[in-house]
Amino acid sequence: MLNLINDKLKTGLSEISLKNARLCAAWQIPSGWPDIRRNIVAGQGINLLATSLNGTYPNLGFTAAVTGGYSVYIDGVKYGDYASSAQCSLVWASYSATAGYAITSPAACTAHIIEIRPQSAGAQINTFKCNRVASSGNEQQGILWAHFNLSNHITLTFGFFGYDSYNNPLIQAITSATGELLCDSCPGFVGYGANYAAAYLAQYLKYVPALNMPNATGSSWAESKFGNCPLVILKNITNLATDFSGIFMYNAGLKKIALINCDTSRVSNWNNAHHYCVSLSNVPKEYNFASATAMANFLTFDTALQDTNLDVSAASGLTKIGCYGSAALPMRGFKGLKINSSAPFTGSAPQINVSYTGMVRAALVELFNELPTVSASQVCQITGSTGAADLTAADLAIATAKGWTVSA
Amino acid sequence: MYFKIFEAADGGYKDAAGKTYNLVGCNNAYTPKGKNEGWTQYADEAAAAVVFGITPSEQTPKADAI
Repeated sequence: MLNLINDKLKTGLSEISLKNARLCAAWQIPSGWPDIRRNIVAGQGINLLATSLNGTYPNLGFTAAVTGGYSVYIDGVKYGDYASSAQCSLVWASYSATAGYAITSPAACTAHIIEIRPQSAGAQINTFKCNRVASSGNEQQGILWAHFNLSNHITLTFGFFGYDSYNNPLIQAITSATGELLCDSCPGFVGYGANYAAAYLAQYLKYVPALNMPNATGSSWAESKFGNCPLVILKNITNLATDFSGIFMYNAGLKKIALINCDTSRVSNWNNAHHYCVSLSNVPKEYNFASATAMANFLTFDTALQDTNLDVSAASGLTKIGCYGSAALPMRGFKGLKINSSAPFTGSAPQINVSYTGMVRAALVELFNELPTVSASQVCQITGSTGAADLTAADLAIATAKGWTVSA
Repeated sequence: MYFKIFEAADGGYKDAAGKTYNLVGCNNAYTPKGKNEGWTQYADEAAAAVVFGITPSEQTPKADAI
């Protein structure tokens, strides 16, 4: 079994609870897979396990930026030398130099270990990115597992997927010898098809290391996505992030988000941040909503939420917030919402949506009491919430007297 | 159920001109002007959408769909 628990604990036992660490054990090296962590160049190497899956994923391409260029080895045999940032392209149908490894997961097929090493001793790979080998289209590639053994910061923007270029739908784990990756920008692990259609990609991704980003620049973590990883650890994201829209959305396996020394006080866009995170149990207490203006679909259809009372009272500029379920996916673990009584709520209707939540009458009345007075036909939607049917005319009048429509 | 449409840049519906909307439905709407004032009753969301002349837009998440 991959010792991911120890990897995680290396990031700081005091920082991550054992409970969290146990969540990391969700991924084990599938039986029969070669251990790509062996023979990696300590502090300088990136190893991949990749397959064509019997021709389903015919190509693999990538670039690495490193002073002096890089070399690629396949199953321990040198495949080629490349200048820094030059592309290594593999067409599996024409590759026969090594036999590879017979594996049975995700299906009976052949996999190869691809080693990426700097050519110069001491040089460090500072950017890695998959690339399309085909001339056009979205090329699906067959990376199963990526392992980093780096002592330096790395840029992984669009590392394993590019919206209209390539993606790695089979990838199960991205691991690091240190248990964390020092990233200089938001890493690209997985993506979605056009218009977020049902083409959910990288649904098998169960593990990513802690993302440590003390030097990161750029403000957007929009739609970062972490596959189905049950635990996502973000470290040292400070003084940069303003856009967390969709950061965890559609991560059906996500149970826990751990923020270590992260400052979200500048994040204004929280739209869809936890949309369809059906396994998520709670919202990080470390979130700072001081700059939040947009929180549409912030918590939606998160049916595993437990006793969650969300306090966004610091968000004095909030225009819209949605924390709701549906009749089919009620979000009963959501118990309360505390807002800022001076927030403008000038977003699209419904400006507040707590439908199909576990908010009882007292919680709804408390929300009504905190509503600001508005003048643009703002809507507070409470349809199907636990206490909706218990509200009295006097309760509803608290909201309507301030200009709100309560849709129940 | 009672329904009302609201213009919304991130709305889950669009009209023939491409303008996007949220279609909000509920059992009852308690408005400052009275119960269900300004809201219209339809059998379901699909029926309301037909009358309002809107169709689901392809963008997801479908904002505020209930």
